[in-house]
Amino acid sequence: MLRLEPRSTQSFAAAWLSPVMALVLTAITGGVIFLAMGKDPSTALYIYFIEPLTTTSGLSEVAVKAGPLILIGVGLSFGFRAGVWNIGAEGQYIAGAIVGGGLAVYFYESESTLLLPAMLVFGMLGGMAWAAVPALLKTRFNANEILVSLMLVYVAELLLVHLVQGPWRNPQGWGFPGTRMFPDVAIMPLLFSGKRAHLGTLITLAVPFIAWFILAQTRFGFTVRVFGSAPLAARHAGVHGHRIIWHSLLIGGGLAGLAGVIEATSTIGQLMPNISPGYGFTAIIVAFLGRLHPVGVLLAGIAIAVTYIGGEGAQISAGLPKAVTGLFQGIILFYLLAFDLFTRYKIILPSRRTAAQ
Amino acid sequence: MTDQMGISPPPTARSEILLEARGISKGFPGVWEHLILEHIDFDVRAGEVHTLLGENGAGKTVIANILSGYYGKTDGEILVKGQPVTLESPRDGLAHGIAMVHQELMLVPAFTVAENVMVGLNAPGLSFRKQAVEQQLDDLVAHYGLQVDPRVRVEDLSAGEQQRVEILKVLFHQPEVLLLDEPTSLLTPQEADQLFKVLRAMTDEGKGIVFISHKMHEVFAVSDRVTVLKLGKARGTMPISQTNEDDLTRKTFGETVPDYMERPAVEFTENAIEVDRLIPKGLEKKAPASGLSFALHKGEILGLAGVAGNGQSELIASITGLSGVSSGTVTILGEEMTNRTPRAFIEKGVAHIPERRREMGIIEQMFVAENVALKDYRKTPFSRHTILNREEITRHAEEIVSRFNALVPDLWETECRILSGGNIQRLILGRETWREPPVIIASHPTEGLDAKAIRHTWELFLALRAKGSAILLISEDLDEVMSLSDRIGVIFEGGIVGVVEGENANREQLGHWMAGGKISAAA
Repeated sequence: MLRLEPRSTQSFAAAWLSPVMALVLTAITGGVIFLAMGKDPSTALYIYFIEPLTTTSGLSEVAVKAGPLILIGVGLSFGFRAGVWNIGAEGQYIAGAIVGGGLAVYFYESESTLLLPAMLVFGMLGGMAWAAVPALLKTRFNANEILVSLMLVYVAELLLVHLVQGPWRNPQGWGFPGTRMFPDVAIMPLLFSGKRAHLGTLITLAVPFIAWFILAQTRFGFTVRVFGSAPLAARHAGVHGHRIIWHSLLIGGGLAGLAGVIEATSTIGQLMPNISPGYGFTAIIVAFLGRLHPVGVLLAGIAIAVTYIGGEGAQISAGLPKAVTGLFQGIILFYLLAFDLFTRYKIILPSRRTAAQ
Repeated sequence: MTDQMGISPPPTARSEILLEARGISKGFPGVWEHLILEHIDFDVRAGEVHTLLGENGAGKTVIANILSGYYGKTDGEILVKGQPVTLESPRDGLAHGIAMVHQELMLVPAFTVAENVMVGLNAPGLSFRKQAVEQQLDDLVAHYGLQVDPRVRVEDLSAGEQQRVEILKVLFHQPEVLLLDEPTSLLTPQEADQLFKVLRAMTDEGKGIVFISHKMHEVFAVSDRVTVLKLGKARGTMPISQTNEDDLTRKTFGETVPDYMERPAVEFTENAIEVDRLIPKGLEKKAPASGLSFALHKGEILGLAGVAGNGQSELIASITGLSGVSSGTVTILGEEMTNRTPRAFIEKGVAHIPERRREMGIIEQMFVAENVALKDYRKTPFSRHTILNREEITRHAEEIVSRFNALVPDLWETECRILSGGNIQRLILGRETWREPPVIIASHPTEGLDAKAIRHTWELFLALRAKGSAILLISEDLDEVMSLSDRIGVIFEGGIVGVVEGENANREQLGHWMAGGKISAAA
């Protein structure tokens, strides 16, 4: 019989090999499913996995899609490391888009180059404000931050709908819910003409490395890890728990808000009810997929983005149903979590064990 | 083995051998090679207590773990009643009637005592009969006098009480052979005596007990035979009647444990800690209305003896900021610190060696170097302008590890969770005392350490005392309290019931107070 033994030390090889193995098995499983659907597996897999990463437009789309996931995921990983369970990033994302985008709604004739940076700052502040509510309630009344942050998602969604249908509705919009289109100065400059990748993409790429540095090399990062690993020991070491709760929620909210305003100022260019396809929730998966490590989150964000973009490609060129995207995300997650076992346990084969005795 | 040594067999020698190890060897990979067991022969017979005696790292715990199925062995064989067996897991051990009580508590804090017992059971169907289990536990409690309510949640129990739960958990399986790894480390002398009665009752029923200890008086109080281990080798097995304390001590440690620590006389003038009519949170119902008052002077070691669960944890929490004060005041080095944060106490110079070392003293999933820096990483040179200085942290950790003889494979690869309790304690002692802090709150500082390390720790405390540190020593080990303390106070139900000069203290008097006796003239 096979036995599992907990590893006494972390295995570097297992930590990096397990995602690779998971991807390989996802491809094999996917191939079988495509075959069962009557599609040529190699073509379908190519469209799904390779095309997004080998064509410039595919890469650009992946980057655009991965951006918000990575930003939010990195922010959340701080909180999750500290044991602060902010699952309302979706609401903080929307709040960021509202507060940041609101500037463009009010200054819709502006030609100032300061407008865009100001919007980014306001977007972060909006996300932080939204996350401040669970932080305040948690530190004051010990209210559960999971519930508070989650419920605030619906508040944010309804607030957005109210704004874009009511006070902020585009007067020239023929009654469609949505604000005016943002002025040109409030739109993220594109990096390459004809591609959707934009300046915000660069910000997104920088954030994980900054976060990595903060977690690994600063007092704050150390404190976050201490607090999340052993609250009792953290208290003994003089860590101020309330401060960590505030900081980690504000970082998570700020980055989610930034993601929201970047999305509004780039691919969308206005505020409208559906500014998020659920980035705030998907980012929770991305954060854990990336092992709460900022660079891991970067890679996980890209992987999840590939499944979205590949899914779109598969719908268009191979005529596969949209549900395939969700199916593939499920399969990837399944294998990743399954292989996660090997990073924490080693398999003892019966023959080896007997020999060892 | 007894025959080889030419010693006549003990009274139990003719009874059945319940469990036997023949030529057991164990090698751990890599850095743990020094911990191997080399060809150990060991057996336990029906109706005897066979003690394994040895210092830290001698391999006592490893043997017990192998005999109970927790560890595999590299070589040798295990026989149960003469039949060779393979023990692949603790479950196999239980199936053969072998059960082990570990030194570290392994309980689910949020569960009740009964639920903790049920965790280890094989459910015959889908339903546990919780009430039936509670009933059975009540019977066991009554039978052995273990004094635990099966319906109470474990997190509400003191460490000593939790230890009793561990024993109860194992007794529930009605084992024939019971292995106890330093079971008295959290018990008061009275509780330990009670435990020994329990063990006697079990041997009278024909069970075999393997008792692990490094406390000499316990060994003599409870053993029929004793096997001395040193660095993974057996140094001899003998009936307890044919040896004496000096002999065993020499075999175990190669030197004698000092009884009383001489120290220069100091006049105590300035107060380091003043606690006035203190009632910590959580003790409002238990504590006397007058609360708890004492003063600890600079350069003094004040021993605080008492049975676990009499308010020690709450007192410590309120003089380290870990939890609040209901009424009364706490003054540290002349500044009133009542209800201040743990950080404020740390910055005031209060070092704390906590009781629950794995949960509070260290962070198990962080590396050794990080754990050594846990109290200091905010300060230069360990960090500057919020950036951590890894070189300084490493250099400092190296120094602490080598000064305190902690066995650590690697500073930045080894997570603290894989270290033994003794090595963790060495790291904590180093971390808390290297700055020579003005105030040290030490809770069970030498628990789990071997005699040599205990003596080093005592010498360290006396050196710190000489440099002016005030040390509050909370311990249930009366030997330790009596060896080290300038004064000894006894805490009972949230109040100090007696104080005596360390030199004039005697075991009977302290034990009397610890059991709740009235203050006598000695105070």
